[in-house]
Amino acid sequence: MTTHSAQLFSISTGSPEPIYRQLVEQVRRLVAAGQMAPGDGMPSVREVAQTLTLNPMTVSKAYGLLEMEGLLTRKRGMGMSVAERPAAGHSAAARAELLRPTLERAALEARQLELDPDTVLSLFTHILKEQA
Amino acid sequence: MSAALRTHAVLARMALSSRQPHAGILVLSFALLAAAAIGVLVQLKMEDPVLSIGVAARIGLAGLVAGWAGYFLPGAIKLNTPANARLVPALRRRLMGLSAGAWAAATVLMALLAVGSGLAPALVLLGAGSLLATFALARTGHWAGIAMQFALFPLAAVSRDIPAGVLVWLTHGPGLALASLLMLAYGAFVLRTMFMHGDRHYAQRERQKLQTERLSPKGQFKEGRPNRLATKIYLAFLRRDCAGRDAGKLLGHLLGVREHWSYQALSLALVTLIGGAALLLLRVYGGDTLRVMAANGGWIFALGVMLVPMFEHERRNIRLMDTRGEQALLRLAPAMPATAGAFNCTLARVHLRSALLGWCMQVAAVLSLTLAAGAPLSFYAMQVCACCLTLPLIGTNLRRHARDAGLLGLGPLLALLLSAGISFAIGALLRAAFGLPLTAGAALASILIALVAVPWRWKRSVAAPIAFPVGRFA
Amino acid sequence: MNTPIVQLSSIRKQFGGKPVLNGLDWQVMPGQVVGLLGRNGAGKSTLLECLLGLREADAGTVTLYGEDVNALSDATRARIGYVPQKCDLFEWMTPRQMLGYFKALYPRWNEAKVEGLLARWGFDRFKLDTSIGKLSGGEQQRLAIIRALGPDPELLVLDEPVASLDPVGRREFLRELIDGVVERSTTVVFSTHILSDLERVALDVAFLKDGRITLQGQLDELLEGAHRVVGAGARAEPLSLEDLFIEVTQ
Repeated sequence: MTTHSAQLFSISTGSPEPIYRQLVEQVRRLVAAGQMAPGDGMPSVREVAQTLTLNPMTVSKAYGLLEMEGLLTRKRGMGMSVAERPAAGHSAAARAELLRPTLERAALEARQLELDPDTVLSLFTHILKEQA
Repeated sequence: MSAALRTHAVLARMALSSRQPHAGILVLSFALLAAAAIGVLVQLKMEDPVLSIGVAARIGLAGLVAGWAGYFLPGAIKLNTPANARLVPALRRRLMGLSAGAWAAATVLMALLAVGSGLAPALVLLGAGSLLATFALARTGHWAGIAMQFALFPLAAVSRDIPAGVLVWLTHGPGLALASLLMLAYGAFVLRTMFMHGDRHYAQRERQKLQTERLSPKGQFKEGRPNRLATKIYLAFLRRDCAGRDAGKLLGHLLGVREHWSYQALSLALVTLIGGAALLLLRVYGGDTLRVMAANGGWIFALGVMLVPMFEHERRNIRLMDTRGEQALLRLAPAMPATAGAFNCTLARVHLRSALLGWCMQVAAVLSLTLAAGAPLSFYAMQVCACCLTLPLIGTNLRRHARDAGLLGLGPLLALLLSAGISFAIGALLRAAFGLPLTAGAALASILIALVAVPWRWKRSVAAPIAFPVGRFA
Repeated sequence: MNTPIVQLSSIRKQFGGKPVLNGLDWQVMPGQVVGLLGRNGAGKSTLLECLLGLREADAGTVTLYGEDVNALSDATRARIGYVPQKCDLFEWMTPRQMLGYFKALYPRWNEAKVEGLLARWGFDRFKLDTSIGKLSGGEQQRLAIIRALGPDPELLVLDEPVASLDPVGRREFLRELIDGVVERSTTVVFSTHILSDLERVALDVAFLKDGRITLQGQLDELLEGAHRVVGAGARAEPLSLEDLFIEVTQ
């Protein structure tokens, strides 16, 4: 039951992604990667805001979204912590969703290179089979 | 030409190159104008065409020489940076040589020009040399030079009264030698001040920039390094007023050190002390003629104190124009009145109080100087009446600041002349009708004018849009 | 509390025949942290000055806390803090004297906060007794911010408050803004060119162009909603705040 420090997070300004979205993505990735285990305490909104020099409302917006998603829960008197999820929560569909941002970027590049979907898909399948 | 001479020539060209684009035409036209004007005056007085042309020619040439010296010297001072000193061998020595040569040449030339005119060449030599040296010193921003520049005018006025014996002593033998040595020593001091080593050069350049800025009408009253004693006194008052929370006094602090009445009191006290001491010395050690001269003429000098307010009003106005940022902050301060009328009223009260206090202090200074000059009792009343003539000027700073924020320019002077003219006219009438002395009648008239003009200006400034920040509608 | 603190309606202002503000409407709600963006010379400073009543608008009304801005009561003015663009004000006074002067001008002065900020932002005893005119630009700006924060304002208006500060100074300023100001639900309006600071701290942005507020809204929504349509294939590229700025103020 560790309480994570706010220094786990980093944000970058000047990116098209709003800052709250960056925070949400980071938490999702950390939880999926197992770095944040269920039951671990999250740093308080104030702590994150101070460490990253952000408006506290942005941080609480991110936390609120994660709470709605079910990734975080609010424990009375203890602030936010990672939610206990059923082991089957690592469904394929949920994990596939995590791949979405990367795939979206690849799709954008494919469109810029003016490749048709079939070519792209066959290339992707080829790579996946290679690495398997 | 030898290499050394060539270097000197290059340096001279470089020093002159920093002049403004039309400097040549400026100097030429000024010299021509002065020559023509003085030539005509001499012609009118002496009715001798040969003499007048001769004088005009001399004045013209002297003007040209002065102009050249006036442009060369500041350029030379600017050249003397520590960086340049490393690049050009013996830069400082060469520049000093050039300047000394220019000074000597100009002085000798002027003395030569004086040959054949009524003035003794030796006197012209001494006078021109000291004058040029003083101008050079003033251009470096040195306080002594600036002070001496101001002393030149009264000195010129008094020069006619210098007893003939002194003049003769100066132009012959040991007297001449001593005076020349003094002048050379003065010249050497000025040279040393002009061309300084290292960091002191930069400090001097700062002073010079301030001087140059002061030559423009708006930069006239730019504050230099504030006098430490005056600042200390001002800060004591600031501390006290901060504890007091009087809106008017806090508003007054917006204008800084020089506009505070303590500064004015200090400078008036200084002038009174020095002037008074000088007059007392004249009376004690001077001969009878000097004593009479002081008694009868000293009051003019004393009255000169009353002309200072005209500069003060302008300076105050410029200060207002320069502190717009501060005014914005004060406008948002809760301690200041909220509505336009109340705010303008507070500001007007600050201006009026300052002007009245200043006037009272000036009258005190004038009377003290008159006392030091040893004038007869009747003069005191006359002095007070003469001071009353400037009373209408008290309302000068009661403007519609939001709208009019420009320079006052000749306004106060013209207003003063107008008011003085009307006062004297009424004074003459009163003298004819009641036998009242002229100045007393004029003083009464001025007081009446002030009682009419000042409330009118007050009402106008209070009814105007809120004063701060000034000049919004300009 | 849903009445706007700052309300500008149909503000018109022109300088020498050239309109700077042209029928501008704007509102700032309590607790908002709004960044005002605009090109150089767009009129941001003029807008902020009109907002505070330091400049009369040629037409239109401005109200602060429900009061007309030309006659703000003492109580309202005590709630406003202003950091103007020019930082070397009161240059003949020392920081200590200047802060003492302002303490006398405001009914409420948080001495502890001021002392804390002075200590944290590098004003040692020596600097506190040097005249402001001799301090560096960054120090003057930091002092101006401290002066504005002294009376614990509820509305803070800042005109390019970090223009002269180095990155550490800017970070410190943002930190103080977040800790001391946003935490208290202070309303903040600031104009800046440094977009990264805006992204961190501001929740709302307003773009000033052609004398009006052309775009205003929550920063997050604007970034998510803004996409640049590129090329024939109608690909939508997401925009950063900088790109958005360039597009909007074109």
